[in-house]
Amino acid sequence: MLGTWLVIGVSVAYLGVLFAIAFYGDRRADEGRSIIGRGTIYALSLAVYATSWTYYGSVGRAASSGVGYLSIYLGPTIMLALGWLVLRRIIHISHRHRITSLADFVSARYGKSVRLGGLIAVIAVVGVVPYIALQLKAVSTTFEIIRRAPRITPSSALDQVPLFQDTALYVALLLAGFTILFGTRHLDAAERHEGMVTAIAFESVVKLVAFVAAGITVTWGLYHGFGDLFGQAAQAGHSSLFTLGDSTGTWVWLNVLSLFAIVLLPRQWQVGVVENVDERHVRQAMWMTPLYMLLISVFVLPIAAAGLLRFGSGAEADTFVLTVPMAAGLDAVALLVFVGGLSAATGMIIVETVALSTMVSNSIVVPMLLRRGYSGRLAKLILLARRLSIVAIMLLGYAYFRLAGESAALVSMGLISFAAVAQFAPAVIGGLFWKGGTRDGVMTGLAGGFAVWTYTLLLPNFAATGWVPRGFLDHGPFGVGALRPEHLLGITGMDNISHGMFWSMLVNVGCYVGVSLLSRPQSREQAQAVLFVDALHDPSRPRLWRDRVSVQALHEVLVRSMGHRAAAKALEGVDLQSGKDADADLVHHVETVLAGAVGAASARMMLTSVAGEEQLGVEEVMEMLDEASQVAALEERHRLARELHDSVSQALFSMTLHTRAVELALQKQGGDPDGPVARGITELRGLTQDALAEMRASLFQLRPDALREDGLAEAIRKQSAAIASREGVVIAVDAPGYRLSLDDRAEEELFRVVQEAVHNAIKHAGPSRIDITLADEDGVTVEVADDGTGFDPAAVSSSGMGLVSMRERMKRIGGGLVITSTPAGSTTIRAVLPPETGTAQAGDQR
Amino acid sequence: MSTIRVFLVDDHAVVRRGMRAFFEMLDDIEVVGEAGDGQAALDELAVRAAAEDLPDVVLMDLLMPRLDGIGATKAIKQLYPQVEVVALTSFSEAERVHVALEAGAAGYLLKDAEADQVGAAVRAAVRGQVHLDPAVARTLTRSLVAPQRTATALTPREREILVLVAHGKSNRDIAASLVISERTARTHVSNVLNKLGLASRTQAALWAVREGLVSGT
Repeated sequence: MLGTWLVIGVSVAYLGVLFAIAFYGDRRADEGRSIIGRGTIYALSLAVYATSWTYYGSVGRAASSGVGYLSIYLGPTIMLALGWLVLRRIIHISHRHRITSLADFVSARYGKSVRLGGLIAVIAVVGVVPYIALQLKAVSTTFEIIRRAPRITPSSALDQVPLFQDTALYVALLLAGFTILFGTRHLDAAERHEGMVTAIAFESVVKLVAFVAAGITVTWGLYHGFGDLFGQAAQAGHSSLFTLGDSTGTWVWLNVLSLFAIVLLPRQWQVGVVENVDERHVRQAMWMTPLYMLLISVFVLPIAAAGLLRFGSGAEADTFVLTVPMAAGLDAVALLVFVGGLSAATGMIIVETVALSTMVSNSIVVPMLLRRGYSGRLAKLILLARRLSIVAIMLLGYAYFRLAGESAALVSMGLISFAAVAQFAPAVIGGLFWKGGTRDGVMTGLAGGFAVWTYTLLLPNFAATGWVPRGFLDHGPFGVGALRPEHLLGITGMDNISHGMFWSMLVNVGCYVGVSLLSRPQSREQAQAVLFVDALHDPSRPRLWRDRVSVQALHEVLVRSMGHRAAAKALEGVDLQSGKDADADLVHHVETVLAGAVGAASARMMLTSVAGEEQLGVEEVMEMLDEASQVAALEERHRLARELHDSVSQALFSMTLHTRAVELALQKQGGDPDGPVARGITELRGLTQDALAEMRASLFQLRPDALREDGLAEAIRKQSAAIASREGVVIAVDAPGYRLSLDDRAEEELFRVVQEAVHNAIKHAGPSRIDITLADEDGVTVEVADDGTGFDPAAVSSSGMGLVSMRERMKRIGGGLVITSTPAGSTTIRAVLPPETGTAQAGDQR
Repeated sequence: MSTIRVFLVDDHAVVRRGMRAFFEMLDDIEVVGEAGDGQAALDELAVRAAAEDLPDVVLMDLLMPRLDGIGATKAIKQLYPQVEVVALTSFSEAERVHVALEAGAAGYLLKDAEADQVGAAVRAAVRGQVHLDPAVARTLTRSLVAPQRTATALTPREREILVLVAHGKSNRDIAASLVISERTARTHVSNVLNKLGLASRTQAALWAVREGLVSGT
């Protein structure tokens, strides 16, 4: 005998435990002793996938269509098996770019498009809110059933409970509190919510234990094991249990749906990607989460069989997990099952609202504020927006449940939600593996797929609820049969999910691929495409911005959007008072930090407001183009080099000859050697010679393989000659006459270091002479010494990103960088590559 | 001292004009004729040979349509051994210098040389000396002291690649015939170059011929 108050007490106690665990998790995290630093917690948190819909609903499915229910677990297993390929890639990219949600991810991939992020957020909200409603319904229904124990009340016989007696409302409010408390602790949405994740992992354990306990009790307590149970079921004629109830086509579609759902559902993205602390955890999840699914699905059939035996095939199978133990008088088990269902529902609701609220705030609210020119403090506003959206989503879910809860149609919302998020698949998967996908392609694909989804799946569901007239379904709009939502173009013989998926995916993928192939991506899109597709090959490079931006301006942007503390932390070690311009690395760093708080698209908008448009340098663009266009670009460069050589170089050479001829003629005629004509001609000859040197250097730069052809020393000589004539400084190059045996990479990095060092010297030290020395003794040493004004290396070491990048270059090839400089004197930058590193021989021995 | 008679071969008229203007100002050098490519030069020289009016020095561009500078140099040295040829070009790659000198050039100048150097090279050639641009001299030394590696350093796959390179195949061709990606083909080629200490595909091809990996033509 379970009283109402007992059930309420247990529920409240359970939620209390949940709060306590979340508190504990967060406290441990604050103390720096994180408990989610292990794969087990990650794998368990992924099991938030199993909601009350699967918890109760699987048994219902099994009762009517046998092992068909397995597809819900099989799809994720397949996806996780591919986890290393797909999930790890997504995680890698998301962490590097501090991506906060799926909307953010897709928007960032396709050129940080604001509109795209907004569209995805809208689809996610529309697709998932009914799913939240479904969870609330489960809580409400099971509560009503269990509190009437031992009487078994079919949920259809339950009247709508009055608003203020509805458990679902209180659960929704409590969960909103929980989510705000543990889901919006930091402004930086890319930071982890350790307490929340710990609680979710705990919930996963609870629902597994509850379900398995129910299964064991039923199988061995009420019957004598599997054999007995299935034997009796077979005898009683419940043969549906042993069939694959769905058609093969449907079954395949269900697998595909759940395969995508395990990654693309907002909550799955949240725990799987955003909350992931270590890519290696994916490896553990690859076997542990499928094992979890296997365990939780083992007893589905036995419980379904027991339910059918006890209540007959007309009974409501969706609540068998609860009603079978209740009917057998196993109150404690029933209560445990109820708590398990509660945990399945609450886990889903908590994570889903966190994920959706991040999307809503970062992809809809913040961009809107920025677009309207909002210039106040954003930090508090963003948190407020996120908290308000949590409450709004929760209430929206609840309202949907109250409005549609009576109809059986709500139950089918689970799969319809899956179908909604499956619309993201082409954008995400294509974005990961295909550089050709463009923003326009994704926009059309998503919009088209979503429209078809709405028409073929959502509208019919509304019709079943009574919100849309039924005639619409049966005869099509305006009586046009070909437009019947569930039988587009007269297709029959498919169930509505397969039908909707077929059409929406056809439109989605078709538009995505078609429009992508037809449209030309902008350079920014291409850049992002390369960053995402080649994510694992480490191509991280800072972007260039059109306008210079001071460090202070960056600081202000950070303060505005994240508050003083976070801004100070982000710019730790950077001199804020100097009034200097920030270099590309620093701007990039700030953009990444901002992206964590407001999303990639908004971060870009904010930086654009202070730094001008993002601009890609010729070299960056070249590097980012994909291989095909890279070849084309190289050919173009070669052609350009050839043409310049053919026209300008030859003309310049001829000019030096002509001017020399004029000089000689002047001498012969006995003209004044110090007169204006003679001096002018001499000057002219010098200029022409310089122009020729410059030309050679730029031709050299246009041919990227020139460094390899000419070798390091020659490349430095040519480059220096050009810079020397342009900047009016003396650059002396002392290098061995033979070619150093360096591998390509070392050669490239050393060349860039020298280039950067010379550039820095000229820009900051104002030297009259630069000496470049290349020595090949005991490893390779390159020294760039200037006689300029110098600086204090200790003062700039942390902020001088130029030096940092030179150091990094040397580190990459196993060398080091030594800088000696005094504020009063000259600067020497010495790059040292120890023997046996970066040399061609070392490469041979591998 | 009699004047040095120079013949100009360059497909850029602008260069020939500059050269003419410059030599006109020099007392010891005169321009006796010019041609726009190797074949035209040979034709012109044949006429002059018949009239016993051959120049002392031919200033020869290397990159030209119809017959290039190398071919023309070879032919000139064969037909008229007394005529000296000075190569004048924009490229300083070692193998070009090698080939030009092998063809019989008595000097190698770059097209960013100062005017006076051009004069000096012509005079040196007449004296029977070889004048090299400093940058060219460096390149040449480099290629002389470059370690000579052997084919054993290469993996079988790389040897296969090298043979294809020697046959003038592009990366795309190589990729197609070995059923690998173009990127892989490129990596292989650059590995081969690295291992052999070579700078270009042409050098690799020459190397392969010299080492007997493929038969020369």
